Amino acid sequence: MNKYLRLLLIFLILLLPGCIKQDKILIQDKEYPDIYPDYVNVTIPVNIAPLNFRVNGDCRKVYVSFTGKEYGFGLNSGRKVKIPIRRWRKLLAGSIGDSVKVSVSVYTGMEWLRYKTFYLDVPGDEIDPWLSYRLIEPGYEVWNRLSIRQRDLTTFREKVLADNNLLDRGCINCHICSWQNPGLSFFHLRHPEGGTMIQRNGEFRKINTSTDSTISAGVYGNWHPGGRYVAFSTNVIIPEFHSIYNRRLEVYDTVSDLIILDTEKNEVFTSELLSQDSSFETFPAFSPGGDRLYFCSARVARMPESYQSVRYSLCSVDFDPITRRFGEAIDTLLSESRTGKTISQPVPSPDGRYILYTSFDYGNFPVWRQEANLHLLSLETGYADTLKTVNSDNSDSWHSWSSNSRWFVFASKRDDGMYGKPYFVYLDSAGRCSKPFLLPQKDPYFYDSFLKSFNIPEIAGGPVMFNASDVRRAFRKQKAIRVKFNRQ
Amino acid sequence: MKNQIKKRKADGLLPGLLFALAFVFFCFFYDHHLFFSEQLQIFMLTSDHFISCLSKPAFLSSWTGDFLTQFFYLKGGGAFVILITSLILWLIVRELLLKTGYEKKVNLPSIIPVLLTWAALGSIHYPVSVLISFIMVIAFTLVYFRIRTERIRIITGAILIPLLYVLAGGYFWFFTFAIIVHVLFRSDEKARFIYIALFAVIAIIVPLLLKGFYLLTAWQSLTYLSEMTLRSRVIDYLPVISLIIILLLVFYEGKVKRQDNRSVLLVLILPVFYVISGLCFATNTDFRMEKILRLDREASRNRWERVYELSKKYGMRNRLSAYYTNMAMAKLGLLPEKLMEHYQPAATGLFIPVNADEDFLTITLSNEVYWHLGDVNSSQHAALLGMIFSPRAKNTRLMKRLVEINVVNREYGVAEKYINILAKTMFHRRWAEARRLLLYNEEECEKTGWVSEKRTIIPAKDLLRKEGEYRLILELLIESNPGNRMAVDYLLCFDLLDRNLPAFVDNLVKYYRSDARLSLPQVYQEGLLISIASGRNTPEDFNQYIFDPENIKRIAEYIRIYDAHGGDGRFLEKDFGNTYWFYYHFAVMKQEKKGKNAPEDRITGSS
Repeated sequence: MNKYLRLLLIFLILLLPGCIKQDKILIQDKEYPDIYPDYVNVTIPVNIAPLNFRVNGDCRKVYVSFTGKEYGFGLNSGRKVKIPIRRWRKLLAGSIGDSVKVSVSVYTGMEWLRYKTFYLDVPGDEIDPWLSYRLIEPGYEVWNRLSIRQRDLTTFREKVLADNNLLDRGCINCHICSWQNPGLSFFHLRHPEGGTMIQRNGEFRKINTSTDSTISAGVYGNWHPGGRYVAFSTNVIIPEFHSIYNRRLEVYDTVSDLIILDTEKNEVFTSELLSQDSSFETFPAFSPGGDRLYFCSARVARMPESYQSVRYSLCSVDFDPITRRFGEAIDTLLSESRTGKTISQPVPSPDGRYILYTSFDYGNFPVWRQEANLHLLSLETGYADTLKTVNSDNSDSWHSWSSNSRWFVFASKRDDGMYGKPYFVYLDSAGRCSKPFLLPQKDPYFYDSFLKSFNIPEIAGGPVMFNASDVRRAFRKQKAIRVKFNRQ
Repeated sequence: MKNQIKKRKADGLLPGLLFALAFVFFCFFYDHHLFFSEQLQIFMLTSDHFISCLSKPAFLSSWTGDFLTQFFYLKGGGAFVILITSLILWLIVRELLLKTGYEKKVNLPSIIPVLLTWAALGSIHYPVSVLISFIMVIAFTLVYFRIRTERIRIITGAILIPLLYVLAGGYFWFFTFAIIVHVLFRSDEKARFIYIALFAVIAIIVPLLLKGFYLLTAWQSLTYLSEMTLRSRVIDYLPVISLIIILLLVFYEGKVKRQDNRSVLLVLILPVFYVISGLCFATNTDFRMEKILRLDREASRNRWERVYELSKKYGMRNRLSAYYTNMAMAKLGLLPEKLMEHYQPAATGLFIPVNADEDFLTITLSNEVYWHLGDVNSSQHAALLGMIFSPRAKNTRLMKRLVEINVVNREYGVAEKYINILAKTMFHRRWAEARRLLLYNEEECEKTGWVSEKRTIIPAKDLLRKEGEYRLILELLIESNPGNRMAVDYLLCFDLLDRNLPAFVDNLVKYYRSDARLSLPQVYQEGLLISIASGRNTPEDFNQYIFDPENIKRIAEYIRIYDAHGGDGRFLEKDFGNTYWFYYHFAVMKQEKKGKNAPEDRITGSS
C-alpha cells in the first residue's frame, strides 16, 4: 500500500510544476479571433441553436467567455468550441434586447492570447424555427443523389422530407411553403411517374401541371396567401457551359410564361399579359394581401446569341382571387433600363413592406453568377437598398422570409464559390440589415468536408407533416392528376 | 502418426497454394483494379467520417473496409489486405465447420466461401468491406454456437440479428440462417419452431423498420451490403449462400449420424462449388478493364511512351483503350502519323461523353483529355460529374484533379476545400500539403511548371457550349493558343474520324502550322487525297502541300481496286486496312455495351 502511496506522491510532485506555471497572457485587443463560421458581431435570434465554432490558426487550448445581461459562463475547449445548449438558451433568454459579450482566449503552447471582444446582438424578434432546403452536389446540370430536408433551427435536429433514392432517382426540387405555413407546401418530382406534390396537412396530391397549351409543367412557383392558388413559371430552360474560369454554367430560358394553378379546380389559367410572345416572364410571387402578382419580365431575345443582353425588370399585375381575374395593365416596379441590371427571384416580405430580390448583370438564374447580390426594395419609398453588409463577392440568392419579416435566409457561395450555404440576416424596423451568420452546426468542422450545396432554403413556422416514406408512398400509389387549361 | 501428419499437410496444401495464387493474382495481375478502388473513396480518420458511416447499415464493416481500402494506394497493399482478411475468413470458416461437427478434411470445404469472395472481389462493385461483414457475421455465429444454455442462446440470437444488421448489413442473413439451421437440427425443444419463426420475423422486420432511417427501399434494406453495391447481384451473395449450404449439409449429416460425412459433401457438393467458383471468377473479373486501368495509371504519371507501348501490346479494340492510345499519341506528336494504325471507334475514341449513358467508371476517366488539351472548364465539369456519380460521391482522384483545376483557374477557395479534405487522409496528405503552398500565391504558381504551362493554354475568351460540342471546344483552344498542337491534331483527327472532309480541309488550312514546311503527316495527306479523289477539291487547292509520291500511287491503286470490285471492302482490307481511305469508306460503328451503372437522365440547374 505504502508503495502505491509513494508512487502517487511522486506523480503529484511531478505534476506540480505544470500547475504552478504561470502562463503569460497577452491581450490582442486589435484583432478579432479567427473563427469559423464567422460569428463576430452578428445579430442572432433568441431561439437559434448554439453558434458552435472553431478557432483557426495556431492554438492548443481555447477559453471562451460568454457574458449576457443576466447570465454568463466560460468554456474551456480545444479548437472546437461546442456550446452546451441549456446554458446557451439561458444566456440568450437573459440577453433579449441586449448583447452577449464573447471573449476568446487562445493558448498557443507558449502563451495565452486574448482577442478583441465581440458581440452577439439578440433582438426580441424570434425567427420561425424550421428551415427546409435541398441538398445537392453542385454539379452543373446533372444530379445523382438529392434530398429535401428540414432543420430545427433551435437545435441541430434534421428531418429528411424526401430522398430521391426512394423515388427512382428522380429530381426533387423547390420545396416551397405557403407563407411559412408547414401544413401547406409543394415540391416538384421530375420523373415519368412524378408531378408537383401538393401537401396539405401531411396529405399529398400529385398534380401534372403541364398541358398542351402551356410551355412546360410548372417550374418556379409561389403560393397565394389564401392557399388555393400557386403561381408558376413555365419555361424551357437551357443549361450551357462557359469556357473560361470564374464562370461555370449559364442557365437561360428560350421561352417562358406564367400560369396559376387552382388547386381546388385542378385547373391552370393565365392571362395574355402573363404569357406574351414578346417577353419572357418568370419567378412569380403573390403579395401578402393576395391582390397582386409580382414577377420578372424581359423582352424576348434570340437565344443563346443574345443571352448577355437579356435583362429582367420587376413587374406586377393586379389579381382578384375570387374572380381569378388579372388587372388590365402591368406595372413596372423596377425597370432594367433604370438599374442596368437584371432582377430575379422577387420575394415579398410577409408584412408587405419590402421585396427582396437578386440583382446581377443579365439573365434570370443567379446561382452560378458571382456578381449576384441581394437587394431590398422598399414598397413604401421605392428605394432599393443594395445591402452592402449582406452581400459577398460570390453568388447570394434563393432567399426566404421569416413570418415576422424580421429575418431572412439566403443561399450564399461566399465561402468557396462552389458550395451554397444558408446565411441568416436580421432586418430591423428601420430597414437596416445586420451582418449575415451561417446556419450553426453541431460540429464546427461540418462544412469543411460537406460536399453538397444547401439549395432553396425556405423558412417555416413548424415542422412539415410528412417524411420521406410518405413521399415515396404518394409517388408510388398516386396517379398524377392532369390539370385543365383555361386562358382568360 | 506420420500418415496423419502427411494427410494434414496434403489437406492444407491446396488452400496454401490457392492463397499464394490469390496473392500473386491481386498483387501482379489485378493491382490496377485495387488501386482504382482506392481512388473511388476517401477515408478520413475523423469523427465526421465515422458518423457518416452510421447513415447506412453495415456501418462498422463500411468503416473498417474504408480504412483498409486506403492501403490499396500502396503497391501490393491491396493484395496484402485481401490476403490477410481472406486468411482470417478461411480460418474462421474452418473454425465454424469444426464447431458444427465437421471433422474430416475441413480445409477443403472451408476454402469455398473464400474462393467465391475472391471471385466477387474481381468486380469493383464488391468492396473489401463486404468481406469484413462476412468475417463479422461468422464470428458472431461462432459466439452464438459457443453458448451452452439453450435459452440464453436463443435470447442472444434474437439480440444479435438486429445488431449484426446495423454492424454488418445484408450478410446478417448468414447469421440468421445459421442459427435457424442450428435450432432446427440441434435443438430438441418443442418450442424450436417458435424460435425459428421468431428469428425469421426479426430478420425480416428489422431492415424494413429501419429502411426509413437509412433511406432505403424495402429491397435495398433487405439486401444492403455497401454503397458500392446498392443493386446487389447474386454473385455478391454467393460466398454466404455457399457457406449456408455447407452448414446445412453438415448439420443434416450430423442429424442422420452418417459415419462417413465426406460422402455427400465432398463427393458431390465440393466439386460443384469449385466449378462455380471458377466460373464466377472467370465471369466477374474484367481483364479488359484491368488493362485500361493500367493505361490510365501510366497516363496519370505522364508516362506517355509507356502508355503507347502498352496500347500497342494490348491491341484492344474498345473506345476506352482508343481514348488512352490517342491521348498518348497526341502527347508524343504521333497522332496524325499513326492514327489509323489503331482501332478508332470514331470520335468516341477521342472524347468520352459525359452523359446519362455512361457509368461512373468512364465518367471518372473522362476529364483527362480536357485537362491535357487545356480546356480546364470542361475538365472540371467532367471531374465534378465523375465525383457525383462515384458510389459515395467522394473520390480522391477527382478531388485531386479539382484542386489542380481550381489552382489553374485561381479559384483558391474551392481548391482549399478539397485540399483540407485530402489533408485528413493518410496517403494523400503529403500531396495536399504540397498543393496548399500554391493557394493565394501567384508567385509560387508562376514558378510551378504545370500551373504556368496550363494557364498559357486555357481558353482566352468566353463562349457557351453544350455537352459534346467538341469541335467548338477545340477551335476555341486553338484560337486562344495557336501553338496548342495537341488541340490542332485532335480537331483535325476529330474531323477525319467524323468523316467530315469539308471541315477537315477547312480546319487544316486554317489551323495547321508545321515547322517542316509543307510536309504533312500521313493521315492528313490521306484525308486531302481522298477529298481530291472524291471531287470535293482539286489538286491545285493544296498546292502548298507536298504529297508523298507513294501515297499518290497508293490512292490510285486503292481507287482502281475499289472501282473494279464495286466497292467491296474485302479486296481492299489486306493492303489498305490501315489507311484513312478504308476507314472513310468502310468503318461501321458498333454499339459498345452500356455501363452497368449508367445514370438516368438527370438535368437540373439550381445547385
